[in-house]
Amino acid sequence: MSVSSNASARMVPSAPDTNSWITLETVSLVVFAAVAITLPAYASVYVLYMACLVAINVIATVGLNITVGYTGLLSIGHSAFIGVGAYAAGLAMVHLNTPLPVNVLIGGVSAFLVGLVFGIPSLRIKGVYLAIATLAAQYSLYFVFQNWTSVTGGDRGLNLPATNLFYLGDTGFYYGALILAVLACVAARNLFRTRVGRSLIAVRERDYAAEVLGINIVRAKLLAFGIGAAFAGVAGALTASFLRLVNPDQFTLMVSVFFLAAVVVGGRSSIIGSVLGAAFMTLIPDALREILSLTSPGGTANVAGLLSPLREIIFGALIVGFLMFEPRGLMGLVERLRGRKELVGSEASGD
Amino acid sequence: MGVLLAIDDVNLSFGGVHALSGVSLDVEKGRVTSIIGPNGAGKTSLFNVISGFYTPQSGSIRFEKQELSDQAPYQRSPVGISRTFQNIALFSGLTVLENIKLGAHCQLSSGLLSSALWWGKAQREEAALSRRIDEEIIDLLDLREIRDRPIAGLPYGLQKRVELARALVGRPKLLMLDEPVAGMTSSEKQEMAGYIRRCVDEWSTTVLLIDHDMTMVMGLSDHVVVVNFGKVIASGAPAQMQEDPAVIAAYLGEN
Amino acid sequence: MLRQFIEFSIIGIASGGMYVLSALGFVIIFKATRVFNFAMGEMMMVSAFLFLTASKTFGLHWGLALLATLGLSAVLAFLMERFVLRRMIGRPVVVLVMVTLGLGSILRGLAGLIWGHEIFQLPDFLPRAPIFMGDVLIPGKLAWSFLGVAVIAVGFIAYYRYSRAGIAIRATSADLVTAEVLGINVRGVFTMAWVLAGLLAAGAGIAAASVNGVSPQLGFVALNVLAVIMLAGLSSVGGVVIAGIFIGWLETIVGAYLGASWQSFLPYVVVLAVMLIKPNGLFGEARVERI
Ligand SMILES: Nc1ncnc2c1ncn2[C@@H]1O[C@H](COP(=O)(O)OP(=O)(O)OP(=O)(O)O)[C@@H](O)[C@H]1O
Ligand SMILES: [Mg+2]
Repeated sequence: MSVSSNASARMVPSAPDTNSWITLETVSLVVFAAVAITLPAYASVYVLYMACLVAINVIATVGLNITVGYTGLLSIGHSAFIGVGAYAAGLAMVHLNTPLPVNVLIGGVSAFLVGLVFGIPSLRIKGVYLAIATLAAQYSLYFVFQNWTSVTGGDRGLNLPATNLFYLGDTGFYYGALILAVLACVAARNLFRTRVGRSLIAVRERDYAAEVLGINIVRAKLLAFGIGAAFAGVAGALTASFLRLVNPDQFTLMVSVFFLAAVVVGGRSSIIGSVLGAAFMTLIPDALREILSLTSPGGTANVAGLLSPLREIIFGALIVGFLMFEPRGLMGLVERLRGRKELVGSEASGD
Repeated sequence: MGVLLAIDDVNLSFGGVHALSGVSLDVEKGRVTSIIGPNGAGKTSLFNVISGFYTPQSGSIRFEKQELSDQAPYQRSPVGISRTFQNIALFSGLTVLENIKLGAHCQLSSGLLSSALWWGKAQREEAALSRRIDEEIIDLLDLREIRDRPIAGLPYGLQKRVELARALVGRPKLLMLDEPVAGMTSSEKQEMAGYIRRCVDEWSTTVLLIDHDMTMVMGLSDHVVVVNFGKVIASGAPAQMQEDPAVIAAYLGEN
Repeated sequence: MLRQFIEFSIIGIASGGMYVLSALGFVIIFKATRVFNFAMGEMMMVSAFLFLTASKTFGLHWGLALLATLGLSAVLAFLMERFVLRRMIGRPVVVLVMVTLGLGSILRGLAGLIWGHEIFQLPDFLPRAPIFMGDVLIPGKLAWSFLGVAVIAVGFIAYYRYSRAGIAIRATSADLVTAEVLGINVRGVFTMAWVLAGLLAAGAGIAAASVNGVSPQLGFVALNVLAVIMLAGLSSVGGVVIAGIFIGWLETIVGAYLGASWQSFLPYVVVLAVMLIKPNGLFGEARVERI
């Protein structure tokens, strides 16, 4: 209640300088495209590796943002759906020798279906019950990955053949991941220009008003949850090809928290935000490792022990800090720097 | 003129509170029917029963002779029922235009794939809807200046008007307005009454109206229903109601 | 055969006590503030470490260590409420829940930094001698920790039912605005709920650690508590007790007969099934939302 009254105070009707905004947006887009396309020509193996990882994580983050940011459904089992996609694609590769595009499709569809299985019981109930169901997904899917040894290979996981996309080896994979990441962003952006996306936002903001307008909220939530899972599945299929290895420990609760942090840090309900958030979060652990190995006298052995708890602290602190002080995430910071003092998120409505 | 909405012997209670007891009323097509009554009389509860949010313990609600009781709330917009809320229920993260577009949600049909591709039907549909809103609604309700502004930050009176726009854009057969002028200044009230009048005149929409402002109710309505303690205590023409002893007693009793 | 089953059942019921405590901690915060506190497990874990440090590193008598732990856990909960959640009142519930998830992650990381990732055993403060009921044997530690948990739970429920603070929390839960109008200090209620949850977390954490040891991962075990709450329905304190004991029992039986890896996942399957059949939980009542 108190927030809604603040909202008007925070709103400064700055004259939106439309022209300069468009140019800046276009310029950054063009620069980004140029860098992304030419990257393999001059980047080191390490940089290209990180770029692939970022691209994959962008897809998963955009998916989670549709569920959490746009639709307001808390999912803390995102990594389990990435796992479903990874295993499904991995199995297809091992047994049917399928190419990457088919793997991606298989990953997306299977994660979508598994997502529905967990969504259906919980989405009929209002509130944060979905969060618990997704926790159930996290545990039960992890259990399946680990214990269905005859299919998943148990703790050892699946070893996969190399993917050779466009006959370009690693470079080919990079382009494949890049194309899919761009497609994921464009598709998500389009979605929110139309009735489907609008209805998801309506459900988040005021579910009863959405119902009066003829939106079936259970269906909308299920759809949002399924889309999020499907994006995760696509990312999972790519991860499988990229690492050539799928094992249960890639899909823990910590990984789910990682993606939640990416959504929050980038900016909920923002596609560009998801790109920023995914890139930021992917680079942080590596930057952290670099800093630690530079400053720690004990050398690398010492660093390994510190890294995992530090990562947890940083992920947590980013989530808490951004939600408290910059609810619109990096996107909000960017706009602030550009002097656009529009609404700082309109989060007046309750649950 | 026929009966559009027939409410018959509806009973609704929350634990011990009888919000509605044996309420019956007919809403005639093409007319403005008003429901008045003191605070807590059960007016909003009746709207919520019509919308399907509250399930009455007994009674029937028929819309164009179809029983509504077993329809979920989201199934009532496609048959032609729309409403506004006593406490504004706009989507504050969206712009005015997007809010209004949501009012026509049921008339659009583009699916997930076409939306994601922004290709063919989805794109055409969105463009056509924007055009229709610009032509029919934006001018009718004087919303041009705020068309692309976010809801949050708009003054109260304007928000009420946007909510009316959202309820209108789907061309409902029945428009339910829950206190559309509550909390407005008297000039805003007059303005709002004018907008409602215009909708009724131009599109001959059937209106079911709740309000405490007697001037507006008496000016707009063809038929007035008075409720108190969940019961209909009188109904008839506006002028008649002002003189009805039971009605006067109900209002005096409240004071 | 049957005797073994009874033995496992008793062990299970006893370990369910820990679930009851932490579930009560969840419920009290939820009732007062509508927030699902995903950091509850980490609060338990930190409490267990505090107890370990107080008794082992500082060599305090276990009674003193317990008091110190209760105090520090309450302070931790108070700080979390005062400096984070208090400042976010009025924000969407999803946001608040994410914040608790973030807080949990911070606590887990801090614990890893400070105490490392081994599993530590708490000093033996509970008598080890097994207790015989007929010819059924109950491990001493478990029996005594269950007793401790039961005392705390009964005390808490009594406090919640009959004390002024408990009544204020329940009133706030029923209707925040009315509670405020009636002169209840709603912010005080929020703080109170968190502090009580901190105390419960301390009890639950020490109980859990006294049986299985403590590591930064202890909090994850406590997530099963969510299953308890779902099963009970959020509105029912009595239901939580029954559901907590049931989940403890189920987990032990499943672990004993199917293997440990089934433990963390079966409670959730039960919960999903309950959600399908009775969306408000077995003991919860449906509420008509006011529109
Ligand atoms: N969801 C609910 N749960 C419990 N009681 C309710 C609920 N909704 C309405 N009531 C009760 O039903 C009665 C009628 O309320 P209602 O909101 O319909 O009154 P109203 O005529 O719209 O009043 P006002 O003019 O103040 O808007 C009141 O006593 C109210 O407290
Ligand atoms: Mg009302």
